[in-house]
Amino acid sequence: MASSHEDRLFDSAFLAQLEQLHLLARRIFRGEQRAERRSRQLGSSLEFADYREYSEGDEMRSIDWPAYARLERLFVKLYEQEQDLAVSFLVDASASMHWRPEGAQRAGKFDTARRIAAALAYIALANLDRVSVHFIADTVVSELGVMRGKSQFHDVLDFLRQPPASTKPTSLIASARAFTRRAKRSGMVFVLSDFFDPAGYEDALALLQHAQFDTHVIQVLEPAELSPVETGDLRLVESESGASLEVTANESVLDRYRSEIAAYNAGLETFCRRRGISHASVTCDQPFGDVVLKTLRDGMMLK
Amino acid sequence: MTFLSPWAVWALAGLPVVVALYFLRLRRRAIKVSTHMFWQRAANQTSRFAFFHRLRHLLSLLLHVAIFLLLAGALAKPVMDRLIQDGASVVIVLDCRARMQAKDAAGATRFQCAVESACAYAREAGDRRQFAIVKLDAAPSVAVPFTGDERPLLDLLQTAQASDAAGDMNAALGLASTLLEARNGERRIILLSDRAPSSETRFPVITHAIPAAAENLAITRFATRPLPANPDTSEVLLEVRNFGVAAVKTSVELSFDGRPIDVKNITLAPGAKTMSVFPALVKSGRASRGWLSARIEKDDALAVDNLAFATLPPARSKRVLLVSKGSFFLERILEADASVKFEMLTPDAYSQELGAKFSAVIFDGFVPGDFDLAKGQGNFLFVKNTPFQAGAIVENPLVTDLDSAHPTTRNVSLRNVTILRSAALAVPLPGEGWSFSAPLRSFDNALLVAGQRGSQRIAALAFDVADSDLPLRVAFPLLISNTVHWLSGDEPDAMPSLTAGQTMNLSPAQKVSAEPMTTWPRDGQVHPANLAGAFRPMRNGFYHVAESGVSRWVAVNTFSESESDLRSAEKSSAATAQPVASLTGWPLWQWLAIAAFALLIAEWWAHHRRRTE
Repeated sequence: MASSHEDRLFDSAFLAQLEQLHLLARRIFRGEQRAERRSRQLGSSLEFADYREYSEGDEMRSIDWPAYARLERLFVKLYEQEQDLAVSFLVDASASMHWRPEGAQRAGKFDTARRIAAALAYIALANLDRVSVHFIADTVVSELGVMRGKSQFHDVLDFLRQPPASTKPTSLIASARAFTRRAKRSGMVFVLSDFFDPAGYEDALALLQHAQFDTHVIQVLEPAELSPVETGDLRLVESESGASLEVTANESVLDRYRSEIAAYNAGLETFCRRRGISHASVTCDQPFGDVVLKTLRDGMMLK
Repeated sequence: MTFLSPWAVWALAGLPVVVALYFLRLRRRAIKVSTHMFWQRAANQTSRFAFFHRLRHLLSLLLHVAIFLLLAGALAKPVMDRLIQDGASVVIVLDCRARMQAKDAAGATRFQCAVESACAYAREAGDRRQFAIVKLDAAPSVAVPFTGDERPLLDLLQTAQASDAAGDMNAALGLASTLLEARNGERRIILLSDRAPSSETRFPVITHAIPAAAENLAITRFATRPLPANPDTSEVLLEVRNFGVAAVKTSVELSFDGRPIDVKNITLAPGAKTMSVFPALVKSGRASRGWLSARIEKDDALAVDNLAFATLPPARSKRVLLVSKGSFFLERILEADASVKFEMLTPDAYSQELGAKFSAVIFDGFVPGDFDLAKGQGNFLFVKNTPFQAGAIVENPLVTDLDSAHPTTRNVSLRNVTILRSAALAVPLPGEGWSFSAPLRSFDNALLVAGQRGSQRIAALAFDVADSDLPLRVAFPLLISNTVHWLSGDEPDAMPSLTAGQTMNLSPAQKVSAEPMTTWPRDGQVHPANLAGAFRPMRNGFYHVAESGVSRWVAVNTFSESESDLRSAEKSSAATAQPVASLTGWPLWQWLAIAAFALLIAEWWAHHRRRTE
């Protein structure tokens, strides 16, 4: 995401649209600072939460005088505290995410994932949430500490523009373990990946849920991955391992391939639905505005 | 089955290349993918059909090999010999005439093209397809009789050369037809010439016409003859003709014994000819060969007619003795002849030993008493009184017969000569080595008798020149000069210039060299004269003739307008020889090529349908 081309995606009009959006958390998290997001912590917002009996030291202004008039007992009105939310982005920077079809000029999977992360980070920052970004591959290979406020959006962009140099194979479970160990607070976590992990994605997503993270899955894919067209005697070199696989690709083989990847993606979607994980699938050829303003909203990640 | 192009067997050496190319084609295209996960699963399902997959590889290779073999087979041009159950007999008529030496623009001669085509035909020889070769030149001949073995045919063709002679195509075709008449089965004549046959033949003729350039300039006549006024000098006649389609301006160089002596510029319109005379060439001396040659300084299509040869007889010292009491006319004539050294004796001073020392002795009204024709040594001319007198005096004899071909009466005209009287001479019968003739007659009476025995000669004139008006005629000095020179051994017509292919009958004492010479060797070694009998020179040049230890040269030239005229060259209908087998058999190569093409289509379809790899 180092080009000015990507910066132009975040023009003022688009950012204004983003500011109208909020990250949709399925759970209510406890924050550390006041913000615009409801929390279970009682505070001083206008949202009434409960009553409790007055105790020594409570502020006089918090006493519900009408209730005292009716019940002749002192009650203190409790209000909800609007707190910030920890929003983490796990951006897959493995070798498979850097793959793009030969001759393709548009943004690849990794670029698309970074753009989505940037857009969602902007939304979070606009809502005074605490944002952290992590590049993952075989583990968390680099991370950006907690950012808060729109003024730090450029720091997020700068971090996203400088991905780790080395591209390593994907290990979602190792990355999830490393992330959960480092996370001080639970919150929302967006996993942006192609989820092409031979070890599977199930354990990693389950671990995040177990660590009380509201998990959102954004699968980023290349159209050429979904429906390859190359036929003939091929030697397929895997981008992550460098291993070769000799395949004679004809229409029947390509049909089997399409069936396999469609089943895999359907399995991911089903898994997420059963586990209450938001899921969205994005392809690189989709207009970016549609991805943010439509696909992610349809995936119940934004409102 | 016959393979018309057996060299195509070498194409089989390319079979490993086909196999190697096939495996090279199997080198897979490397493509980078994000993951193998789904490809492996898809490929795992494919591996269930591994056996059929391997079979597809094998099938693909087999198809390639089959296509290659079919193409190689088509290149070999196989012919089924189903049409020649009785065998085929083919006579190749190879035109070896001088015109076949004409070169095309690339430098190849028509004869080389003809030989190349003939070799292609000869390679078709087999037990059921026999070939013979007839050479078409001055005397058509069977060069190779019918054979099914290509080796003698090819051996002949590799050594065959075009001659410098003209020839009769119809005679050669007639000879070929005669050869074929005794054969069964398919019979054909293949004519390899630059001209088509002019007449019908009894058997089909395949004319393989050889094209060539048409521009040609030729020497069509080149001859010398002694000047009648002075036999020691000769004049040279040269005729040059332009057989081209464009005007030509060039020069002709005349050389004597290899040294240029004259150059004449000529300009000739298309089809025109020019005749030049080079007068008063002195006869060659003792050390001279007498080689006279003319060369056109132009590089045209046919070189053989750009050079012509002629000979000048060598000059000899002639001492002539006149034994006479006095003869005004004979004395004046002999004194006037610069080519003889004339001496005179009275009859009483003459002796037989003295006569042998002179080239010729003229007895005027006198026959030595000891003269014996059988033993006599020397060359003698008897005037008025002769040893051959047979009867009474003939009054006023008329000259009725004159043999203008005889050396003594050559160019002599005795019409209306008045003779007062003459002796009646009897022509002696041949005997003791002598042969006699009467080149001049008055009815049955010989007026001049000439006899020869080897190099010895004798002549007898039946009348006294003073008894006629002959001394007042131009014929008189000619008659005396001819006779004296003939007696002295001069033979102006003994060694005429020959045309190539012309037969010369040699006398028993004559031998001739087998090969001609055109340039004098530095070591002076001439070709040995070792051929006797009939001699037919086929090459232009100077041939060495030896007779009784005396060497002479005979010139041989083409001098044939039909050979030099290349404008009538036929257009070839085919650049290469049309195989005989294709005429007498059933060619298979088309079907092999069609099969190869069909297999190629099938392989292409199977490959794109992934039926093959």
